[in-house]
Amino acid sequence: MHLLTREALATPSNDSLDFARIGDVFSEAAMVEYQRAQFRPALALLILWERSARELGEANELAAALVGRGSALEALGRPEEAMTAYMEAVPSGSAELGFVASQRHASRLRLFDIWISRPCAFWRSAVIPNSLFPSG
Amino acid sequence: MRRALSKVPKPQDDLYKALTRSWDEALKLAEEKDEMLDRFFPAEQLAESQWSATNPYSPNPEQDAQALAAVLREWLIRDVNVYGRWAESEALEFARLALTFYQEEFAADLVEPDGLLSQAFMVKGINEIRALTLQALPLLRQIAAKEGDHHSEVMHALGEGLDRNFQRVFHEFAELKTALTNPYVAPVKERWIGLPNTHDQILSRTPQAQALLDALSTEGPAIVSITAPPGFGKSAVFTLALRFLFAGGEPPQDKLTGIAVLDAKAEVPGVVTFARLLARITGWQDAAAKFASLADGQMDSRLRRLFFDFLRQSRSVWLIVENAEAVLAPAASTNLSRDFRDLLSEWCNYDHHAKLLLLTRHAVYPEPKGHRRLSAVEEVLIGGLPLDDAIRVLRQRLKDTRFCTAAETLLGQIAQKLHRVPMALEQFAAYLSKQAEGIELDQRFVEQNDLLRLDPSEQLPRVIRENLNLLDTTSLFVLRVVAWAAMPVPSSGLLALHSDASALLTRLVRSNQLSASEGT
Repeated sequence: MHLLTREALATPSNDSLDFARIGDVFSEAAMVEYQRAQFRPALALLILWERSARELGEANELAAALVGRGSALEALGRPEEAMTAYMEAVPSGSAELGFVASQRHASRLRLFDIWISRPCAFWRSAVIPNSLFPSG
Repeated sequence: MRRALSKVPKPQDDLYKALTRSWDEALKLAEEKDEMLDRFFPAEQLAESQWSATNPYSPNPEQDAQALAAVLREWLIRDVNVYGRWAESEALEFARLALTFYQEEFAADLVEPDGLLSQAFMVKGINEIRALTLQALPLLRQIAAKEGDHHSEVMHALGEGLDRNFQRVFHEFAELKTALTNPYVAPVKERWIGLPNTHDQILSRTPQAQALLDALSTEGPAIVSITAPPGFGKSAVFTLALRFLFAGGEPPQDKLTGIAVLDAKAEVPGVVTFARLLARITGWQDAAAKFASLADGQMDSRLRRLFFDFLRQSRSVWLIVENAEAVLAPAASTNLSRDFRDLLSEWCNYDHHAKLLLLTRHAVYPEPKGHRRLSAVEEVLIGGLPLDDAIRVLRQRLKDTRFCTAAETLLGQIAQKLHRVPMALEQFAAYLSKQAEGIELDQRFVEQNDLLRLDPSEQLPRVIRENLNLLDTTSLFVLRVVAWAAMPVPSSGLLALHSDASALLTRLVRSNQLSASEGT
């Protein structure tokens, strides 16, 4: 996209964008890419999911996106950045991690199931009860 | 046909009246001489075959031929004034018939290469008659040689009744001759319609202009398009191409009949509009009137077929549609834009040499057969001007202001902030020229101002935004998501945004509103 087009689209503000929908679409697409071992596009989509969660102010969405981002970074061989993402996820979502059991976030549960099977033991043991992730 | 004829405006010029009166008079005389009637107009079958074989503009030649035969017969018996209501194409056809059977009688004054009728129709732009007269010439010479005095042969053939009135007929022809000398009578053939009239220097676009000329100089029909956002220089490339074309003077008519530029924002391009432009180029004004009359709010493949026949007869013409997004953009899906798309899809199915150039902000999608997108040209336009040339543009536009001596580096920074887009550079320079007294063009000014939005009335981003508003809601949403992302978005994510996103993305990429690279 040309920079002028981007500038032209900057008005009106992003307020009118449907970030809930954007988050849903990008997280699902990220999961598909991740499962196909396409970690680079998965990472890009997870970053966008994370940004849409920030726009919405959804702490749990943000935590899930950060964990996913950490997993993708780890898969891409960038463990330090992955660790940073995991650590950022702890304060963001630890208080309400029970969301994963809710109906609305059923897909997130599958997503977590995939990602959490990989991340470092430190983060898992510190934050998430093992009972939530049977495959872990 | 009668309904169609009734819609055709009656020709008002002296030439046509004189010609009509002459023919009417002659045929009236023929009617008086029963034995001559068959020679003037032998049978309905003849009219039918001649009409269907020669009239290129009729949507239903068979039916028209029958109607014509009936009209002619009726006319011969009762109403000689019917002829006055004919459109020129019908007059042409009748003239052809009449010439076939009149040639012996009116050889010298009608069908000699410089004869009155030949001149009359040449002035009206109907070269076909001239070709016909040239074909008939050897026969006429033969008759003349055999019969000796031409006029005595005429007298013999037409008999006494005709003889009595012959001088009057020739008097009518004398009027016709006078009419021919009236400059207002002659139709104006405009080979070049609406060409850009700018003398501004156009920088860094020579290869692109040459590429455009090459694309337009191919054999046969073609649709060529250049797609870029507003202000990026599509029209400049076309203007420069014209300068190259006219560098050695006007191109000869056998190479290029004419060029017409149409602004789709002002007039919807389509069969009727194009026919009118072609009529101005060729001088066949009545053909345009007939297309307008036949279209009458509806367009079908038969009319398009006739239009393509008109195009074929117009030979090598270039029709240029500026702001073609007015009919190509997704939001512009009206009946008229649908008609235009139908016209595009059939453009290259017919045998003609007309080129259609679309300068558009939204891609031609889906692509019609024979469409050539000048992607290399578009790529250069999207990239903006080279920095040196962008600075030169700024200097040129500021030459009469106190900013003309601004430092090269400062102008370079300005050019970069304006993305080296021609319209943005021009708008900025125009703003500086208008506000010269109140501005100190220095580093601080450049850093502290949004150079793209200095003038509230002329802002390129707003023009671009208005253009994007022509998109459908989903496409605009996709674009806004990409703009918000400010990073390459994987195509899998964009495709998941909408069930029909694949087609939307293709259109956006071809419109140069999105760029595709490595799956993003």
